[in-house]
Amino acid sequence: MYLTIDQVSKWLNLPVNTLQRWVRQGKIPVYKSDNGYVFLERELKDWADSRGIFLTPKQEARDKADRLRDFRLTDAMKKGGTIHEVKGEGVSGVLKAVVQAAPLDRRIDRDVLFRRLIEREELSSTGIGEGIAIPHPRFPLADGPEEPSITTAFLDSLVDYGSIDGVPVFVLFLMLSPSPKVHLTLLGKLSHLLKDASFKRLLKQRPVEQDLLAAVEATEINMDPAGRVSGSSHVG
Amino acid sequence: MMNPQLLHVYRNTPFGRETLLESSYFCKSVGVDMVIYVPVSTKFLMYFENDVVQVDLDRSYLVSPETAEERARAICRSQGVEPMFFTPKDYTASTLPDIPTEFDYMCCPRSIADVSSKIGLGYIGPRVRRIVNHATFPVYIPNPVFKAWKKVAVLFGGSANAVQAVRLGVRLRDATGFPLQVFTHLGRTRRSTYERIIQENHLGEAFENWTVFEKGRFRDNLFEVPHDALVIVGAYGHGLIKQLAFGSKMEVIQRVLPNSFMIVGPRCRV
Amino acid sequence: MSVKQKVLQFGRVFRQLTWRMDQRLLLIIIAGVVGGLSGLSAVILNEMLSRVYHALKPLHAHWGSLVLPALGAGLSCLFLGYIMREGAGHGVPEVIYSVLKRGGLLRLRSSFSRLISSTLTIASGGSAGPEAPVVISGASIGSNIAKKFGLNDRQRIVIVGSGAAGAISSIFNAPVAGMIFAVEVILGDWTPISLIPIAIASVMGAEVSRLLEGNQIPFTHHAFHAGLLDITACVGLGLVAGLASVLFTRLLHGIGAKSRKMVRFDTLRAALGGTCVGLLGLFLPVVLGEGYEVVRSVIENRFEAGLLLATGATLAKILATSLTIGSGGSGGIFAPCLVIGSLGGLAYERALIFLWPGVAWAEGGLFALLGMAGVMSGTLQAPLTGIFLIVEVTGSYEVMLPLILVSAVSATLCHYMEPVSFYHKELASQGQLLRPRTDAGLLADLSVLELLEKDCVVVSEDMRLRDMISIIQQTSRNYFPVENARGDFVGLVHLDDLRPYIFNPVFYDAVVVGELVQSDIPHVSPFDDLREVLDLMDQTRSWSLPVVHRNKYLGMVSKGSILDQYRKELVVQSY
Repeated sequence: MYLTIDQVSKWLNLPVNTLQRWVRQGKIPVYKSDNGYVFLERELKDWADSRGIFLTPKQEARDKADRLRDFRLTDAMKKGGTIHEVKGEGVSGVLKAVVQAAPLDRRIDRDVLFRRLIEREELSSTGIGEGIAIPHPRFPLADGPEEPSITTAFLDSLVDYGSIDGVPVFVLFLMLSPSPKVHLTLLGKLSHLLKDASFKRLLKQRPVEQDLLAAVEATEINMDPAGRVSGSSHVG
Repeated sequence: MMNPQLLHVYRNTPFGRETLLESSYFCKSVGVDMVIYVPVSTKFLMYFENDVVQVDLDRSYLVSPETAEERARAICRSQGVEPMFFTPKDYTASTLPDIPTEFDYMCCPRSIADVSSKIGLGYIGPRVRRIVNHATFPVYIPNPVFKAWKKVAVLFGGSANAVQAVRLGVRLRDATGFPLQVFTHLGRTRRSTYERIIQENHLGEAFENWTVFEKGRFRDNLFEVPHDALVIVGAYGHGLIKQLAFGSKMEVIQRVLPNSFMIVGPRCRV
Repeated sequence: MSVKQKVLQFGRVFRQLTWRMDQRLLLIIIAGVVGGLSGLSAVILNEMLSRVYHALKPLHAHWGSLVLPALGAGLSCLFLGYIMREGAGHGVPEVIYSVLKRGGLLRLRSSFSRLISSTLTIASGGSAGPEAPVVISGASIGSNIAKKFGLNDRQRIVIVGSGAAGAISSIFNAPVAGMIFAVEVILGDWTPISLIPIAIASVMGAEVSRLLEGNQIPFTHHAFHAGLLDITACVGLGLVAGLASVLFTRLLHGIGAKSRKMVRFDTLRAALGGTCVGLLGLFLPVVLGEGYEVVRSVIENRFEAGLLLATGATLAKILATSLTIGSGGSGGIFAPCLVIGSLGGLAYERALIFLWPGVAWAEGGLFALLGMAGVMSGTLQAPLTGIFLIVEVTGSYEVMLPLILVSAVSATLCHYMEPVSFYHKELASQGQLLRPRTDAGLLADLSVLELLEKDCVVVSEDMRLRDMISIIQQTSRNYFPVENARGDFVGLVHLDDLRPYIFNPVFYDAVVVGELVQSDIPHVSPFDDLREVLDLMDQTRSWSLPVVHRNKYLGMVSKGSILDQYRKELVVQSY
């Protein structure tokens, strides 16, 4: 396969002018053609291997990073689904019920997940106040989901969750993420969403899934990847 | 990001003033930073990717060096340009400074090497040719006398360098806001051939104002090129023999047209 | 045919033609041709020298020897300056500069200009050697042929080295010395990929000279026997040779610098230098010309001179050469080194006899040989070239032991007193002696623009702290470049400067970024040398510095990214 200088510059994560200098100095195998320089993929790989230079063909690393940024709250919440009238006694009771009822990936061992959630709650409550809690395992599950999911669970009755403000909890967001990074991204977005007064009003009404997702999507459009509302900051 | 830079070799004479005025006007209109080299000796070297070109200046470039910087600055400021002055860092030999070649434009009088009396139409010195052939930047060949241009004209002959010339034309059009006009003399080539080239290179929008000469002599047709246009041509990069035998279009163009030129060489990165 | 097809077809054909192995083969073939051509140029110069010398000989007898050197030097200066429009300098430093810094690019005119100018200088009696002109011609021939083949910098450098090797090996009929000279003095880099083409070029150069001039050895074979005492005495000879080298190097530079100050007009300066040489030549004709004949007679013990005369001749030769080359005559210091060494060796032997008349010392020729190697090693700081040249041109391996001893002592002494050789002195003083694989060489390759980090978020001077907080969240950097309303760079805000305020919302609207900015932060220009940048970082103890051009902030440059790229450069050095 043939590569152009721009492609190679991305593979090597080097500026084009450095690469042009390398070509001129003869530090990298290259062929000259009518329209500029051509690199041979196989040769380039050998060259990089023998020198311990890190090649990232097809931009794997960067793609991954890009994918990270593209994780949308709406998608995760759609995947996790919404369940209503969850019954249970105390924290462990409701968590057990949520874990059983949530539409989870088939690979996930629900018992393990439950134990992890309890472990996390024992560390400190995930109740963030105003009747909302975001239970999640402390570390991503070993055979966790590829895509993150957030299950919204409205409780049948208020549960004392040990939240910071002491307000009993009426809704849980069960978050499962493939990596801590994704987790933090989504948590950021979610916490931003939960600051929104109109959204909180909507939650109190225990909306059906459709309405909930519509509201989330509407808010998320104005959010930048890390969960901040765009347009307010000066970025140079 | 950094502005593009134009290199101007300053000559402290009335001739030099005119070329510097031209350069300043160019810098001002296109939004380019001016870098002035006041020669410290009559020669300098330019190291390109695969060649080294020695430029020999005549003695007039070294005239009254004590006033050179002052005057050059005043000339530039009269056009609203704040110049930078280049001092050579590297020397190949003690009287042979190296001038970097990483500029975005370079201003060369029609002949950078010879005495001013030779500078007229119809002559481009051999050094300037070599610079054009090796440079990664287009070479600006100013009028002997300063004249403000208000249009951009590209002479498009279909070659790879001409395609680059059109790209440069588009860039200058966008930077200056001046109208762009493309001229093509068909000769023996069919119009469809040009259209295919335009399409392949996605240059359609540059050809909104395209004048095609279907008949007549090339040099006569050049009369249509506006008098107040900066003319952009691709250097055709012929071999020496071919050039001796047939002469090049560029030759004809620059002999007939008194305008300022921008010449796009074969290695030019536009 | 579409562009892609074209590229594919091109690639196929090209791969068949120039496989990696073939690239090396191509290089070897080109090197061979270049070696042959530069050998030819050496033969031509030799021929021109002897013809012009003989044509001028009748004149030398009368008033000539006084006027001729002045005339020759003046003419050669005129020729170089006004006809060839060459820069000043005798050539070899230019070749080294081009190899180190410019990928071996040399001008075409250099391939013959110095052949003619040095003929004028030397044949008229100027005290200089024909080697430097031949070296620059050979190197330039190589460079220009490499250009035609579109070789890259690294390959072109090898070809330039091949040209130099061919030239030296042809002029001395000494292929090993030519090869070692190219590697030791010109390239400074011993890699197999460059050694093989250079060796081939060396062989070709010697072969051309043998074909055209016969397999003659410049200085005849002569069997020497060196006893234990002689070898002991070699330490002293090494010291003498070293001192002579230091004197020679300093005088060359001193006269060069002084005369440039005294006489501004090049041609006049060269002519005046020539006159002085002519005056010297009136009393001591041995100092005139390149002096091979003198060396020959000394080695064969035909040179009749006592201690005083030999010492005087040595000093006079040093002075004459310094005058010739320092004032702008064209030529090298290679042959003068040999003459100085041989005369110095002779003087040393005479001194030994004078001090210990009872001891049976080896003959003067041996000491002359050893002195030559000593001065070569000292002046050029190329001991290997010195040793192999002497071994080869005299064909006597018996003297190897004392030869190494003298060279080592002399080179060490010189290195102590004059850290860089004459060839490299100018470059080193400009900080341009950038040998491959050295720190300076690596850093010189990199430019600030290549290392620019653009991921810092620029903030404006009048931004409130509240807005700053959201920016801090977004970036991973600790620095925030600050611009004023016109977009000019004002300074940096460091996260540490913000820390006292960011946790107290009272400050959010009360504090403006402009109040926190460090405006005395040093910054660098995108065109600064990386070594200066690193020095500045060390001085200011900063890990990264802003890059500013015409008051505009461009990015940051940090030690981290420099190290990263430095390592990559190191890794790709070998290809």
